[in-house]
Amino acid sequence: MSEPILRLVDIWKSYEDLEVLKGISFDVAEKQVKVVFGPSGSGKSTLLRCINMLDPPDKGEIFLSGQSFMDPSVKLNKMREKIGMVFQHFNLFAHLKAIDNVSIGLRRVKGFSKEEAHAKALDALKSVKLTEWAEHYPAQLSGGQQQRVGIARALAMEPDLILFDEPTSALDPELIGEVLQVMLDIAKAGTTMLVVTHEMGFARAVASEMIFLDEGVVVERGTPKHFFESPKSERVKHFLKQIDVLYGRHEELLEPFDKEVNK
Amino acid sequence: MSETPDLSTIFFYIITRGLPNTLVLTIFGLVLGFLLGLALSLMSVYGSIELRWVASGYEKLLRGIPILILIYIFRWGMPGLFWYFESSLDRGLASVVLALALRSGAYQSQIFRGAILSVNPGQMDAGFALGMTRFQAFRYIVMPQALRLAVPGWSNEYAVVIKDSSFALDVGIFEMTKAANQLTVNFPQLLTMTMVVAAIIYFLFTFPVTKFFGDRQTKKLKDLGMGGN
Amino acid sequence: MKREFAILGLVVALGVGLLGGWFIPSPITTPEGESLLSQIKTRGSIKVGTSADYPPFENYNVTLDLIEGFDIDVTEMIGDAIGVDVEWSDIPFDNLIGACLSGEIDMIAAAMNYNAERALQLAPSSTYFAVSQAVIVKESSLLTITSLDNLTNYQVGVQSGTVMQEDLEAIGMTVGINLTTFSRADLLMADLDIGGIDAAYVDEPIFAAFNRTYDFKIILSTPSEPLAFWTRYGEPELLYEINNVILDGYESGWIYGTITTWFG
Repeated sequence: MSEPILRLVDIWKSYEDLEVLKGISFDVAEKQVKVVFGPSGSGKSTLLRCINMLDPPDKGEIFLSGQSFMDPSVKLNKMREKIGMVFQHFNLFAHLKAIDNVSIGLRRVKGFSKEEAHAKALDALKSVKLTEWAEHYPAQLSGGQQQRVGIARALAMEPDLILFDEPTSALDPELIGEVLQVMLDIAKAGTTMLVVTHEMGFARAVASEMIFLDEGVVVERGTPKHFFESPKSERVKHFLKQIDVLYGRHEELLEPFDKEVNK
Repeated sequence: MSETPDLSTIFFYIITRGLPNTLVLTIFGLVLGFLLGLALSLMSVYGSIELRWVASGYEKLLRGIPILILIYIFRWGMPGLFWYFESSLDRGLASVVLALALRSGAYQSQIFRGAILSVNPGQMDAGFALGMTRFQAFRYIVMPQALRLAVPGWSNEYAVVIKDSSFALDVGIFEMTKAANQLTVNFPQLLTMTMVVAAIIYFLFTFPVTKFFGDRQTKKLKDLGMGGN
Repeated sequence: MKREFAILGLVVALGVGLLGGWFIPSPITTPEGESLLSQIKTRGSIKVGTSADYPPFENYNVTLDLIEGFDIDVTEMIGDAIGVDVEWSDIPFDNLIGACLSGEIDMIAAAMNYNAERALQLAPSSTYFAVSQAVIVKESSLLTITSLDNLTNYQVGVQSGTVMQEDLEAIGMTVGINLTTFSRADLLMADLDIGGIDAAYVDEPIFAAFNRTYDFKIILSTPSEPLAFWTRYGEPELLYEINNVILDGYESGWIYGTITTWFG
């Protein structure tokens, strides 16, 4: 078996006196989609920020295609080029148009020429179905459109892995579907994804494995089938019930957006 | 102007004789103040605790000293300061420019610091996630936005500096206020009128700028949703 | 630990800067061995300070766009005698002595009366003109006085830093209570005109100049110390040249022509 794209070994992280992550380990292999979920405060976002070293872990190691992030000879920003990230609050560059948001990484980090970067960016926007909005500024786009631009921005860099930090949590309900649809599309196209979310419909559709995180520890992991048919721990069962109560109707929302309906 | 000058003569006299020096003082003072303010703001946002302390100390010091006192110190207290300028007048100009720049730098550093800090730090994260270095993230993400955000504050600072430039008359520089003063010495009966004309001239130089760059830019920034995320 | 170093470094830097600026011999003032006069000749110009708010002694003529007046003419003669141009610095009267001491200007030509305190700091030339001082009031004023002492009951204005200010302070008047100072003579006159002060104490010749505009009258005339030019001590060569011109002016008589031009 080849090297997994991402390997986490015994990650520990504390903020002041609070231990947020207590020994997390798992792998993500190529083309896999792994969903991390759990109650708030469980350390899910912290985990993602540790992976690309926005907030480095206190202990433990992170390997990207076998190369350790912790190796002092490694250039951090070069490693980060290979990991894309989609943020809960989009974090688009407010002073740049959508197309420039997507192309800036290609131009300034990867060093493509203006024309090449522009063409690649347009392709990325096409895959999230936003080419008509390329010349618009983020402030002129809806939340769902902004997040799709964020996804395009990550895709354009052709990373080995894309991290999603609760990508739909900040969206109005009617906009969630369009973003989930894009995520489904890219998952089916073979993108390696690590997604923190409580969109169980998405998980059920494409996750290779689901990981339940609570109070900084991996409590249970398994296929979606495992979780939705026979979860083991009480905490998982309790959490899933809460999610169902809140989002139970979400799965119906997903269907109309199978067709290409832009806002 | 052998008899009492009329309104338009007063107006043109002040402008033609005084404006060149006023503009020289204002432009150099602002530009040097900009460089200083930018450096200080970078020190206070991104610097180590020692650098932040130095920047903050400098600001407090310069905000607490009247500009006239600074000008006196540079002109009379340190006469050797601009020894490479031959003409006494150039040395006078240089002392005032230095005083204006040091003072303006302290205020501009506040402006830029506020502008830099109001750029959503999440955008920096996004930049790093793309693989940008700290410098690249600053240059391509923070700087462009911070500069735009600083424009309204900056246009205000321009108005302050051009008004402060009138202190230069105390060290013998012939700028607009001095021109007005000389008119009143020659024609004392025109004291009030001359001063009102001078006020109008300064107003004409400040109001359009603060209105255009201040208000219009603030609106543009709001439209783009920049700052205060 | 680093923080303490930073503070120390900042204080040391500030200290060094200030002391350095203070003590490093200014290239402008005379270095060892070279007299001011020879410096002036090398430079080709003499830097003279005045306060151009004082017609007919010195004024910046806005019509002709040049500085003119009695002091100007005499100083130009001094420049001619040395063989250099005159570079004028027009600054507030109060600042003239400081400017001369620091080397910014070589000489003061500003209708500055001879006075023992001033002579402690700067070297006076031979006196070149005698003036009297006058107490002036508005034409419509009913104020009469027999001596300066009578003024203590009134609000009187003077130009800041002048002998007139010293004289009034000597009889017990206090700035802010019954004495008001002004940085410029024309402001002093304007204030008298609007009634901000009851009387002004000035050099008599400027009364005539300003009376062209205003309606004032003299109610008392007092003799005063004559006027001198001023330069730094330790420059006998320069002082010699200046005094020569003044003497020559009175001996050959050209100065009377100048006096007539400016004082009528």
